[in-house]
Amino acid sequence: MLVELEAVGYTYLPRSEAAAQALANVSFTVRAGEFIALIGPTGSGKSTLVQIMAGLVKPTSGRVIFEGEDIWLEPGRLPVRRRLVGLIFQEPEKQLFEMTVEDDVAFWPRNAGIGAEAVPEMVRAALEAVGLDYASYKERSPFTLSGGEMRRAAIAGVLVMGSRVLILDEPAVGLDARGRVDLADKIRALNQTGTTIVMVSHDMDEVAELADRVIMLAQGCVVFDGQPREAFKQTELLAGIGLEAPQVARIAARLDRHGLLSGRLPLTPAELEQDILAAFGKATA
Amino acid sequence: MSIELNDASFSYTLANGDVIKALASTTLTIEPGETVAVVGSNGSGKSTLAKLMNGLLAPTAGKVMVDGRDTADAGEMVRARRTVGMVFQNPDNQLIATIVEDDVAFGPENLGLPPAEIRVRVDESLKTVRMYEYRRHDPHLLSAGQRQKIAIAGILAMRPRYMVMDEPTSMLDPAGRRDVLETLAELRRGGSIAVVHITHAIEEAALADRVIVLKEGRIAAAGRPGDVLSDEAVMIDAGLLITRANRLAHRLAAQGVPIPTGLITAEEVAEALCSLS
Repeated sequence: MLVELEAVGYTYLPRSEAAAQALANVSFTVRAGEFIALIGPTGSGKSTLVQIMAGLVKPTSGRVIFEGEDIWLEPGRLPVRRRLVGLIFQEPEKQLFEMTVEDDVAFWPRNAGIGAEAVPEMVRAALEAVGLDYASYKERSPFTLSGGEMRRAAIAGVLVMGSRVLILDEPAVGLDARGRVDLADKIRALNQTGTTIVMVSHDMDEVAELADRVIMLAQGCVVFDGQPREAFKQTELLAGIGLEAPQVARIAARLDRHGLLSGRLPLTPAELEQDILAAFGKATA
Repeated sequence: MSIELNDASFSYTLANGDVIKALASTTLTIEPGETVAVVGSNGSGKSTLAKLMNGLLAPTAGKVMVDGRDTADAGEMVRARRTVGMVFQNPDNQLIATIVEDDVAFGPENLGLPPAEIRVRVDESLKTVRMYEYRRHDPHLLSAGQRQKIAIAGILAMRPRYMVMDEPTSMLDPAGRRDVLETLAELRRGGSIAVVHITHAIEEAALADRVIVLKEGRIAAAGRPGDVLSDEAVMIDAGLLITRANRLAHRLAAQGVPIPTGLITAEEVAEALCSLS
C-alpha cells in the first residue's frame, strides 16, 4: 500500500459564495508496481487529484496516507514523505532553468545535502532511466534539446529524488509522434524496473497499451476503477462523460455489433488483428 | 484568387549567429473553399508556414501572395491579414470580452462596420459554430472546446476568405476536439471559406481534401489523405506515425483480407471490414 486516499474531497474557496467542489469522496489505493491511468474530461478534477496524491495540496476532507502514515498529521515530516511520490507537471520542460542538463538534474541532490561525490552517479542513473546518455548530454544546455529530450531531462530531475511513485500529468502533450512513442517506451521501462506509475492521459490508445488499471473521474468523483479491458467496454459511460474509446476498441465495438467478433473484446492492435483474421477464416501462423 | 507561396523561405538568425531555416523554398497554392491539412513533426515548419500565409511573417526569400497581394509589402500585408484569419492552439489567448457576442463582435467593430451589419455577422457566425444560444454567456465559464468555437466565430465574423488553424484541438479533451472538428466539417461543407488545418492528429488530417507533409522546412509529400497518410515510409521519414487503424488495414491486407490500405480512421476501417463480411 504505497498511497491510500480515504474519502478525499476538495472544495475551492470553501465558505464563500464561489465555493466549487473539485473532488468528492475519492477513495483508492495505489499498490507497488502498478501502472494506473487516470482519465476524465477537462474539469473532472484530475489535476487537483494528482496534486493531492503528491502531497502538494491538502484535501479539504478525507485522508492521504503514504506507506501507512497520514501525511497531514505531522506537517513537519511532509518534505521527507513527499519524496515518495514525484509529480511531473504538464510541460515540465518549462521548469528547466540551469545552464547544463547535469546542473538541472543535480539541483535536488545538491540542495538536499547529499555528498558531492554521490551526485554525478545519481544524475547519471536518472538521465539514463529516461534514455539520455550521461556523457553526451551532461554538458549540453537544456534549451538546445529537442522537445522530447527536454521533457525527458525534466523527468530525470524528478526521478533523481528516488521517488517510488511517479505521477505524470499528460506527459505526451505537445510532443510529436516520435517524441510520444519514445516517451511512452521510457515510462513503460520505468514501470518494468519497479517504479509505480500514475499517468493522466487523454490518449486512450496509449492508455490501452500501457496501463494495467484505469481510474476514471467525472465531476470530481471516481466513476470507474478497474482493468483497461473493462474500462473501454463502458462505451456509454465513456461517451456520457465526453471521452473517446481507443481506436482498437472503436473498431472492435463496430465489428461486434455486426456480429463479426465472438467472445472477448480485443484491447490491443495485436489482439484485434488476431480476432479479425479468425473472423475472416485466415488463421494466424 | 488563392494563397500562393512561390519559392518562399523563412530564415532567422540566433543570438550566436547560427541561421535557422524554418521554411525552405516552398511552393504551394491554397484554393478558395478547399480544406488542406498540414502535418509534420515538431520543428518541421508548420507554424512558420501558417504565419507566412496570413502575413504575420514576411518571407525572407521568394514570395507569398494572398489574392494577388504581396505580403512583403507593408500596406498589402494588413489587407492580407484581413483575408486570412488565424486560430491558435489556446482559445484563452484569443478571447477578450466577458460576453460571447461582444467577443465575436470585436473584429467587425474594428473594421468600422455599421452596427446592423455587425449584428448580422455575429449572429451568423455564432450559428455556424452552433453557439448562438450561448451568445449572452461569459466565455470563461464555457468549456475549452466551446471557447475555441467562439474564437473561430470571431474570425468568421470578419468574413475572411481563408482561415489558418494552428493546432486548434491540441489543448482540448476529446469532447472539445469533437466539437471543433464538427465546426471544421461544417465549414468544409459550406465551401465559402478555405481552411488550412495544422495538426498533430493524423486522424484529423484524414478529414481534409488534401494533405501536406512537412519535413525540415520542406514539403515531403502532398496529395489525397488516403494516399499520403497511409504511406508509412513517407510518414516515418517525416517523424510521424500512421494511425493504429491504418496499420491494422496494412497488416490485414498483407495476410489476405481484401481491405483497402488507404483507410486512416478507425471508423473507415471498421466500415470496410463490416462491408466485407
